[in-house]
Amino acid sequence: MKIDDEFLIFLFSYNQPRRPKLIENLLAGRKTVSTLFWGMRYRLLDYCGVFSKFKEFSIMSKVHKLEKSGYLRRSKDNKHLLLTKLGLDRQKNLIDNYYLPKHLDVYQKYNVAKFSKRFLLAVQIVSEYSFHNKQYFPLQMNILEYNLIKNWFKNNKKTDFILKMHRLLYNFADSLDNQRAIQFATALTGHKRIALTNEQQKSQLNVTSLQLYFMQLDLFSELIIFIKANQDYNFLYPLLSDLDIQLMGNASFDTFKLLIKGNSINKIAHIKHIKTNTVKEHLLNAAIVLPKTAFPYSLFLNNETIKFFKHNLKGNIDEWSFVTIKQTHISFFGFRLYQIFRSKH
Amino acid sequence: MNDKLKKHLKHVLKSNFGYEDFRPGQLEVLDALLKGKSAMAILPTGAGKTLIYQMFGLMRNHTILIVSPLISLMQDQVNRMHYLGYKNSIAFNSTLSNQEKHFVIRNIKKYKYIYVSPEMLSDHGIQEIFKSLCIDLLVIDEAHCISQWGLDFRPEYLDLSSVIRNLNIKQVLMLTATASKKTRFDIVEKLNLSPQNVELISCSVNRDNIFLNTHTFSSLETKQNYLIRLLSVLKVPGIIYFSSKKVANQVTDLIKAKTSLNVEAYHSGISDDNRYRIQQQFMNNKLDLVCATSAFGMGIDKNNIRFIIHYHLPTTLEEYMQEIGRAGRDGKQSISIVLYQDSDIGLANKLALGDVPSTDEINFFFDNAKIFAKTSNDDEKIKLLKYYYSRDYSKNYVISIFNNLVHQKIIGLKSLHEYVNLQGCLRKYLLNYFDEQFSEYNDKCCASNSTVDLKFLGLFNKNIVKSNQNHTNWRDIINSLFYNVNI
Repeated sequence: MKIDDEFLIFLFSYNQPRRPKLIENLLAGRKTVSTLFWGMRYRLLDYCGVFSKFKEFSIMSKVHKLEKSGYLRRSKDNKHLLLTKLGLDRQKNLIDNYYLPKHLDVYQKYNVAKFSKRFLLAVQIVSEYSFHNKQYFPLQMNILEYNLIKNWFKNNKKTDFILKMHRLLYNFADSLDNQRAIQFATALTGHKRIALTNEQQKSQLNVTSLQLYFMQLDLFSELIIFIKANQDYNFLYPLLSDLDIQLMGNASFDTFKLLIKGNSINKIAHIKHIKTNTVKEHLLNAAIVLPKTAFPYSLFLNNETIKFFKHNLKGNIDEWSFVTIKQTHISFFGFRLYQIFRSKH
Repeated sequence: MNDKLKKHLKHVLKSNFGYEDFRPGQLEVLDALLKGKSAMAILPTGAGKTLIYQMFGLMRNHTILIVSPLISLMQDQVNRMHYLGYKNSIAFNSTLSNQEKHFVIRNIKKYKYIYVSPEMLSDHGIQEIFKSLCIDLLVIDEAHCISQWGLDFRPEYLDLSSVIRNLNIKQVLMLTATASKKTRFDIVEKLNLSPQNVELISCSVNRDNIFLNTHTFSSLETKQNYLIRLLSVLKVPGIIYFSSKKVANQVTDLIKAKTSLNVEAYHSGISDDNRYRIQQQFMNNKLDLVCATSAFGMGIDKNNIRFIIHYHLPTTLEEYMQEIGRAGRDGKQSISIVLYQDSDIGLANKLALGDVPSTDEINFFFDNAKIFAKTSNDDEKIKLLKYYYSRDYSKNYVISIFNNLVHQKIIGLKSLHEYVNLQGCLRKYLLNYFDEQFSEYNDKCCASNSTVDLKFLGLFNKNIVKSNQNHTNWRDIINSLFYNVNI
């Protein structure tokens, strides 16, 4: 996948110095505390893992090019980059001319790629079935997924699901603007109809590969919401099974569940056979990803600690340094948790 | 074969596959199998080798196990089986996830046609699972890979003789498009089969409805210009073969820019989903032309392909035969055109010899084999050498195998070079290469290094109008997906 310069411009800020390597790790979905924390600080957390399926991508050489062309500049410490005035102007100009994903929140909750494969096969099967055709090449997929769709088909074929499927496709396309409705329709394979390839869709929509990828993600993210929002489409609910994903990572989620059940950090470490530091990392990940009210900050930050932090840590949260309070009884875990807590204000 | 049985087989053919009659060789192979014998079938590409074991499977109650060397081909074959209604087919190979493997193993008895890679079948655990099955027939696809005299020798194929023994297999069907006499003998010997129990059925590799044409060029520019001129008058659909993905992409763009043809590039750099779409668009006549690497077309059974153009040389004449064999399966006049530029042979050389370990490399590997054994290196050459080492082959034996392979490949390349530079009957040269005689040159036979009268061949088609499959109205598209449903 070719990463567009235009997209990279959106990942930087005029005011906030940002580390390009960290952004790269975020896009690749490397879920360390540092990556997730700064991803949150940069307000880019929803982009986490959005390129995880692309093999060996790197943004660094492109970032250097943008720097050379005067769109980005180095911060004082030489490690961070900021948009220049020229870069900021370009970003503003691009807002209406470059397609950015709009439903990454859905992407962070559900395996959208898995859903789209299931959905497209389901459409194909229903389409061929409506023409009483058994001789066709089904879309390719994993045997287990294929089996899921097969069972879904068996359970539904005696119902009026042809009509329902048609109505869903129609109503969903109708909810989109014309261009996106065409994009959706041409991505469907069915009886005597084969979806357009990505190359064909690109030239039809006049967009880059990356924009097309974002458009496809959005389309199927919206479709998930559309199906979930209407009981008429409950015949498709089996296609939504086992799609849940955790932005914080599965291991962090397991740790977080143990915490909620009332276990201490030491107890969790014992249960999971992991180090206490790992437990703390998992909990930080959970705090970063969850809304403020969903994480029990009070378990780790009592009033006294908060008072101490308020007194010692002032100004821009990005610039706080653990070194300034290192000599005290406060651990890095407490410091980072307070940073997260304050970021959620 | 008696008339009654013949009549019955024809009936099975018609009712299950829709064909009126067998293609040359099919009936003879079936006859041998029905007599309980093993068979080696040397039938050209497009002769319908798959149908033989499909049909035999219909007449037997148990499993048909098919060993197939190419994973991509295996999936294509399974797709084709599914298409024909044989949903009880499965490709059992390394592309499956562990979860999928467990699923297949749990349900193994439900599958009638099991395609398996030789590597997988070498695994004793897998063999134990297959022991629970009653196997009516072991099919060895691309059986020439067993012979170390062949160019495509695959060491894992040597384990097949012990598989036959362990799984108590009584009948084997060896399939290949090309095998010299020496290779044939070697295959039977390596599989430890009794020669008296193996029936040999071979048909001519000649495809007389495919006109053969070569064309040499002094520069890339003249070659490209000629290609574009040719495409504007040549009857579609067709395939252009390339050795390089990059060039396939470039030429696709060039064709898009200069002609009104619907064309797409197809190679391993394209995602599975998009490859599926391109294959299906091509099969459904939505594409006029595919610019492909050799990955394309293996599992495709498209009858009306009118031309095969080689923009780059294949690595062997065997590969060339396989590729041109995809044209004209409907029996109608078709054409093979090789566009050759002197520098192309270098690329073919590199492709043919690049993956063979040299004597130095073999020496180095065997001297350090214990260290290599601990590393997990994915390099193809090392994997190959590890295989030999794990089977206790001596260094000198391995060196002799690969020297022989290089020797064979050089002879193959030389023949290919001679073929494209030939002034004379191309078909005669090609058939002689495959141990056949030919002396029936006529106007529809071949033309070396000259233009072809496409009108005479009935392959001229000037007014190519771009067919437009892209409905722009989404309502029409969605309505067209379902029978008799409209909003």
